[in-house]
Amino acid sequence: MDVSIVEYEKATGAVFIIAKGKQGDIEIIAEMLTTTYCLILYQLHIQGTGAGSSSISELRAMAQTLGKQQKVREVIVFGARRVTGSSVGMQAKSAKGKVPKPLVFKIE
Amino acid sequence: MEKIIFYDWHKGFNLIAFNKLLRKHLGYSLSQAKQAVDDLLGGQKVVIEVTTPTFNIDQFLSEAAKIGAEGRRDVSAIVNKAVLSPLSLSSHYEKLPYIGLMKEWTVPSYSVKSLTDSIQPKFNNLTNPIPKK
Repeated sequence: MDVSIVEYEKATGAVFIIAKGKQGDIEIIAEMLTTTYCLILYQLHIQGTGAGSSSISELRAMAQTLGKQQKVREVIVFGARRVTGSSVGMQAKSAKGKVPKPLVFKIE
Repeated sequence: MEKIIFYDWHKGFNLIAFNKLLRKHLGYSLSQAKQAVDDLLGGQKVVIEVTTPTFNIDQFLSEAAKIGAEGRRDVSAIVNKAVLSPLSLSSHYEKLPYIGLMKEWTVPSYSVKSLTDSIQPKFNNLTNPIPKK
């Protein structure tokens, strides 16, 4: 998978990534923190071409490519609050949308 | 200077598009825009100050609404001015329909508070004419 970092703000760690998925470009905005061992993508926002256009296997492939590019052994993704799915209902504003569990991808 | 307040988001809110919108129209940096999006997601209000006089607030709000962000023009400054000087109301007439859209506060209570706030300091400065025994 073709993954490229389009923009990176060194001071804040904000990063804008574009990945070429099977059904079009997938855009990602997150706060990136890199150590010698792992790469952390914090408060990740992701947008594909539409519902069902991407999958967890594509996200895994994306993490693999990014991990290899940055020469780390692990990529950890902390997703931001969900804006789609059943968790977005009639809750109070502050509780609307679930915060997903962090995903850990080992780089092979 | 006018203000825009974003106070909620809808299901399917396009975070990346909103980020791009903030950057394109307001010149925000990537991290500033991301922070604004995160604040809105977390249930906080995002207040944006518009410094450019030619900035089209209505168009900006309609574009934001299309991608799932719910915002409105902040009319508190206009209402304050109108309450303190009713004659000035006519000059802001075209902006007044927005008052009807406000959900979080009512005009009378806000007006009374703003009046009290503006009058109170004048009383604080007065010295008591009756000496205490």
